[in-house]
Amino acid sequence: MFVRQNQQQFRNSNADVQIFYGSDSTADFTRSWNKPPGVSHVYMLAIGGGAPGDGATGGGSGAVSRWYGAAQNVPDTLIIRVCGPNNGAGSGGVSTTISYRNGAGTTSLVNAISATTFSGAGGTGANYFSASGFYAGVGGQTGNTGGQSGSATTFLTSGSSGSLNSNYGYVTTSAGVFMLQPIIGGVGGSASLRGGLGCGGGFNFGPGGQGLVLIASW
Amino acid sequence: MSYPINYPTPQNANVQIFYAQTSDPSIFPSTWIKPQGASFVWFTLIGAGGNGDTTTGGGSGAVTNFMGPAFLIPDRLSVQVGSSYYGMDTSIIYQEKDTGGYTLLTAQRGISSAAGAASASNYFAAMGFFQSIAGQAGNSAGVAASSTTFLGGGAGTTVTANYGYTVPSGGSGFFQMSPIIVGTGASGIATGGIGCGGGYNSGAGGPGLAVIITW
Repeated sequence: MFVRQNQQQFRNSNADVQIFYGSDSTADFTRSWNKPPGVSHVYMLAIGGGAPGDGATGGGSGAVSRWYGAAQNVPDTLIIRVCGPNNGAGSGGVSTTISYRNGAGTTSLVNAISATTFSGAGGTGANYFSASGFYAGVGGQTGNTGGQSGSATTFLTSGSSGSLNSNYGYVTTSAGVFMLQPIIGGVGGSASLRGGLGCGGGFNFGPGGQGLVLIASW
Repeated sequence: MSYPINYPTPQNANVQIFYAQTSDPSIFPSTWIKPQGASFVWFTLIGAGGNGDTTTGGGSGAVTNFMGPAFLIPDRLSVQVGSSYYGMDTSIIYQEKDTGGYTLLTAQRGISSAAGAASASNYFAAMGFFQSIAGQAGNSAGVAASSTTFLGGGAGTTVTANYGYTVPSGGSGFFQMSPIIVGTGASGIATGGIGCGGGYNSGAGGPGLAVIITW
């Protein structure tokens, strides 16, 4: 899976914006991010995957973690691992992580947990890397058996069995959606349908949406 | 390049300051248009100060800060700057799909002697960095400098603000951004500075303020 969009999508941004989407078919995928030369600031956004519905309740939505700080505090290369869709059959459910290659292994710097049940994924606390900048993490929304309303704390909605009313007036009774523009937000799936990125699947075993990583630098 | 001592250092950022209007901000809000080329956006919202209630000075407004990537923020936002006259909080509203709009950020106003309460992070702020600080309550006598906010409450006598700034008994409050941001409440019947409380004797609270910076 290659980066699908560059900063030209965001006509108003001079930043280098690289977006890493979760695979449509595999549990997760790994790519690398190379720090563009000359940048001073870096912003990272990690979104965990949504959970599938369990036959009775919509899947919970993934966590959101973000970090902002000086580019000099960021390694030149980062390893990006993004959660794929979770269909409840052993695929998906891994955390979305931004890691530093530490010798033969990797060390997670920014982590967003993927939901695996109807419960929203838990938010991740700050760590030693996040101490070098500004960090915040927020948990996902818990799935519902009936309709669902937009969360008060996250822009990623869980799945449900009925109508999904997300933030900013977006509504679905079908598959979930996710958008970055004009404002970031995601909607879970209804019935047996997949949730939008990071959002929960419909109650009838609808797959959870895959994760996402966005890194902007300028 | 070097500049003379005390000459403000030029900034590359786009700084837009929204003051309270004389018309009702719920009907005639200001509009912010995202500047071309912006990568990051910083919001500072200041809630209006409360009016004195004849026994106690007005409380100061809350301060809400948010910082997030420009490309995840709408190109156009409504800015409602509150005042004690219209009894409104200072808010940033996304109004693309709904005539009522969606409130993204808020700094609550002081109401009489009570300080403006801090607001909670919400779904919009989940992609950036959010902080909201409550105001300072008014006092029937003197007011000491707050340890948590730069906006002072109103008083019955002398007001002491941060950084050694003071307002004598009966004096008006004031607000400044440079050389450092600070505001003072008023004493007696006088009006508070921006976001600050009015004097105890029905002095009007200062209006709110919104600052949006992009770079």
